[in-house]
Amino acid sequence: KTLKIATDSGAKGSPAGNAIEEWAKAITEGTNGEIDLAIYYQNELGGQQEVFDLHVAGDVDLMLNWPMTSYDKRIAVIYTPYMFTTWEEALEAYKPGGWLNSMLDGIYADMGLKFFGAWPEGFNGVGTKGSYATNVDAAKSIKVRVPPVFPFHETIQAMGYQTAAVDWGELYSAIQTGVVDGDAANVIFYELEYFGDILDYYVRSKQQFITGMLTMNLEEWEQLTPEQQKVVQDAATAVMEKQFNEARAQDEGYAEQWKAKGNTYVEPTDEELGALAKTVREAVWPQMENEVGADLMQPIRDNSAKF
Amino acid sequence: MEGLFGILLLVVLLGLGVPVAWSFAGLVAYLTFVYDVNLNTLMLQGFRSLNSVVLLSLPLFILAGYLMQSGGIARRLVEFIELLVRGRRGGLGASIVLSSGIFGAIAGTATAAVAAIGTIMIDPMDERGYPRGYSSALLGISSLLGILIPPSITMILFAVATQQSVAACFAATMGPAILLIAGLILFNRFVAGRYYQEKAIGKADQSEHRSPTRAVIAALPALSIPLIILGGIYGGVFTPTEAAAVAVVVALLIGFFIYRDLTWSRLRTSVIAAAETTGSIVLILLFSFMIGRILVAERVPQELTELVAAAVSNPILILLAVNLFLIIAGALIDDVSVTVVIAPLFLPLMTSIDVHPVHFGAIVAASVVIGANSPPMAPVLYMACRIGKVSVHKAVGPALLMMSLVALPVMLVTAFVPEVSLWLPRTLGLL
Amino acid sequence: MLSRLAPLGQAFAKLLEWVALITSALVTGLLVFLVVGRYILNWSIVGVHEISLVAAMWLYMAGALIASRRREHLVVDLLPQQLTSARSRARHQILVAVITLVIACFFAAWTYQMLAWGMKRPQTVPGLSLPLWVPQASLAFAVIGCVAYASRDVIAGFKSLAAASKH
Ligand code: NA
Ligand code: NA
Repeated sequence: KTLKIATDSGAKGSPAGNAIEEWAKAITEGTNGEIDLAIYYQNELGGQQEVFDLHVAGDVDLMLNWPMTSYDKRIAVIYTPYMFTTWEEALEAYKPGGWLNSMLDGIYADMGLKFFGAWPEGFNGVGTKGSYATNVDAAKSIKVRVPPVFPFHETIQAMGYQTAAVDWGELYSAIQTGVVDGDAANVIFYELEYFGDILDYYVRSKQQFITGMLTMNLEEWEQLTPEQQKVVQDAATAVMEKQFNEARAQDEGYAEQWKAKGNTYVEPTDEELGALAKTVREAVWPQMENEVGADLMQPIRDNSAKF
Repeated sequence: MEGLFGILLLVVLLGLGVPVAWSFAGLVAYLTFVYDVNLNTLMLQGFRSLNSVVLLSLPLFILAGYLMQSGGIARRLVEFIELLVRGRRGGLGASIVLSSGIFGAIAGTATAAVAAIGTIMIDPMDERGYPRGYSSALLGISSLLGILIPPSITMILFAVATQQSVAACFAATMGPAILLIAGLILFNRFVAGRYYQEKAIGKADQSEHRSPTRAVIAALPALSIPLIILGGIYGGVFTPTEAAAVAVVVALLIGFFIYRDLTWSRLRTSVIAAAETTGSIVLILLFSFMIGRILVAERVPQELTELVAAAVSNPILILLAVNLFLIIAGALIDDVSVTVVIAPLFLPLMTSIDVHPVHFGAIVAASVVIGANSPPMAPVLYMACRIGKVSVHKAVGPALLMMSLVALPVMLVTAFVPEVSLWLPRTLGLL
Repeated sequence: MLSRLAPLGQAFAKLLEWVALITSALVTGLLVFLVVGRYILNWSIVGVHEISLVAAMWLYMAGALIASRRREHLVVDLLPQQLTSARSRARHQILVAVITLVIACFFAAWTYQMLAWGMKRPQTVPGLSLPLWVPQASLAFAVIGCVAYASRDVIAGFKSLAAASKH
């Protein structure tokens, strides 16, 4: 039979596009052609929210998606600011069996999705034009766009920036004409890909660790034979492990390309990061508790990095 | 085969006189039977397509257009333009073109210009010897400057449907707009002699013997609107979407406090009329988006691209074929559907022959100038005839002549000379 | 029957107009507020876009119903213009109204299914925690109105046919 596989962030030939191609190929080969996959890249089936709707409804069977909070706001736990400060901590939490991985497993099941694992991109930061900031005071004169998802706005404001709501579709011209000074909360790949020509600085402030998720519609999953399920799961694990190994180098490569464009790449010092993390945790974590519940925040408090 | 039946069904429904929106919904219903469509998400997807921030400018630019008319802004603009062209050969015809152009820099649709400029200008033109069929056709085509000169609903829809920058799409149609203005003025002056004998001085001129200085001063607030809107967008004060809301507020302020033509009851009527226009467009959009989603999920655009690419390999022929297709589609269906269903269908083919998506947007806009005035589905021409109080068949002749001598050449130049559309967005750094 | 429903129809028409007026004011006001807040006051309020979108959805659907009520939806009227006798015009009116009614019933079924699925998998508007059915309910509102107006047109068609047959 033919299943549909999609990603919401990545055209054909992009790392995410290649990842779903590999996942699809491994499934077809592993099942000796019993399962065939139709591949849909970014925007081919509509916007990010639309494709996720299709996934939850079972029109898209397998997906590499960047989590949406509209069905379950507990998903926001993955955006808890300053949960990790190093790749090692993040990978430890997200790997199969890791503490965050198990937590997400249950949340996804409640949405009707089978959770396989993470497909990490790296730490995010703030891309700006004209000036940049590595501390709360310097950020006060900079106005950046934040995505309309909790707790991005709260986090970026706690970091000192002025925030603005600008639709993603209007962001390029908004930065270009100066409606806003930059884009907050993305990994450097997106700043390079979409705004590399108009931004000047990228400050890797590391407030969140951004990752896509490998998931399958639960009803479709249950219709597979145990052998087929194993093939799909193993293929997902292979894609995930490959990305765990390669993501860091990819991310560093994008930083190099960023510099090669004549832009400035800034890594805050440990003191600066520590100060930011302290301020932001104090401001945002209590709000997170209200949104996602204390029982979900407790493991985060127990496991996340100490400063 | 299913596709052919679908097109046939659409043509039959439209031909019977079923409203366009419902004809499209009928096609959606047909597609749900032919293809494997999940009914749980069908309407949800339609809802998501409408639930777009960029689309918010649609109701607002339409409302701004109605307020320009009820607040006396359109009238001051026309009086100002008439001053510029008074006494020249073909002057009144030229002034309908130029007024539409300036009005187009304020309003986002063609119909706003038809209503606003038509009600003011067609009677005086009749008195000066322009046949109503001719002036209505000229009005119908000039009014499309409303979508070529930013702000433009058509370009917003194109940008939404193809994920391009609205600001870049806005800038891309300025070149074609200037060509269309020049073409129509020249046509009116040299070709139109067979349609009318312009009378030197008619009643219209005598009744308007006001001081030129006063007309200029009166027009200044009206002329400031395009400066505020475009200055605000390109000066980094607001986004194109927000500009639409600013346009509404500016029109309200000028209408209420400077020209004082606007009253509470006129405001109420304008808001409700604008909502009606918006609603009738949105219903078409909703079902068009749903059709688009179903076709994409069934990979129709991809297969169409492969089919055409296999049949024709010469990029020039492909471009010509797509232009021809856009014109035929434009004659049969409305501009909104052409922009959000047909155009994205051909986008992969266009990029495969190195046509930039923003350039293609300008080609689509230029095709809409023709499509909106070509029967059977010619909403703008029909509306111009209704405002001009003339039967459609008297306007079709001159309209076809203007389209073949002016609008079609403009479209072909736009298609084959990329600089016409891409120069300005590149200069502004938007590409 | 139509005459007995007339007061109801008028009340509904008034409701449509008020929805259009209020939502137009909301959408305009919120976006201008966004500009002023950002450009002059350096404010940022979460959810302004989201509230505007909810208001806009109700504006779109109220507008579509106003157009249905006034029979102002865009049509290709080549065929109707050829019909000269009152009887053939009435027959044509019935045909178009019946087709519209059938299609509006499809629209109703799809909307019902969207809402039913939304009950199974409820969603919220991100940034506001507002249930998604609040904007989606505008579609249900539109569906009810469209079916009602199409039915009105069917009945009106039969009435004009009866009137034309008498002469
Ligand atoms: Na315009
Ligand atoms: Na047409």
